[in-house]
Amino acid sequence: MKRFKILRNVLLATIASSSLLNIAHAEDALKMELTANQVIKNVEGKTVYTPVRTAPAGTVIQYKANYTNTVNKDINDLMVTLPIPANMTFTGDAMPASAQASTDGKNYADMPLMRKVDGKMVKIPYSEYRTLRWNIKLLPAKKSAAVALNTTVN
Amino acid sequence: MKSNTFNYSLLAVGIAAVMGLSTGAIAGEQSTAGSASITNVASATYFVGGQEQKKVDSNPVVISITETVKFSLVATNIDGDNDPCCQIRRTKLGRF
Repeated sequence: MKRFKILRNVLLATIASSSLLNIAHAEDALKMELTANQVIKNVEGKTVYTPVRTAPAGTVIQYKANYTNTVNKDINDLMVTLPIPANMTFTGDAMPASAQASTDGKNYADMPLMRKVDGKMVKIPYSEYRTLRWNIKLLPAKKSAAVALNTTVN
Repeated sequence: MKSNTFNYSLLAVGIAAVMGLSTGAIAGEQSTAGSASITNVASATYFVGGQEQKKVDSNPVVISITETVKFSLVATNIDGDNDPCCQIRRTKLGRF
């Protein structure tokens, strides 16, 4: 009788966990992969991107987010947000260039960000940019795209 | 009859504690002298069929920043009489 109870509990736990896993898979219509590459200009003047895990100060690093629509339905109003980490400064290079920027992660505006100083509108330095955001109106079914930004290690 | 005094619950708690400590050590920032780790995660919100979906996060990307100190010593004091650092000229009578 005791063994039967144990077996029953194990079966129930297995069914519950598999159900939860199925739900999790069903919700993942969008898959996103982030990569970091060092930006190097070779002798021919061409920009080369190499995977990086360790970098000294001054290194230019590109964060690239590849996103994929994994379902057979279109994705609308996709908003991809890519932070600029502490100890890194945005270089001003964003791909696509239609990105909006924020200095607080809440309020976004088209680049370059501006503010009023002594009654005059001046550009906010890139060092104060903390987050970039892209608004993609449509990502067709089973299609992929990417956004990227360049930073310099402080 | 000898009773089984081995406490399985205690063993389980012990193993969990050790695993927790080791995991915590791995999760903590590897902070050796002169290096720091920077972690970045992208996120996205989206709609499918007019329905807002759960926010999606990317995989975390960790970059170790190595702090290299660059400096050079340039000899500007050729004759040894003046102190270029402090812009103080020495004369026979003293400083001015």
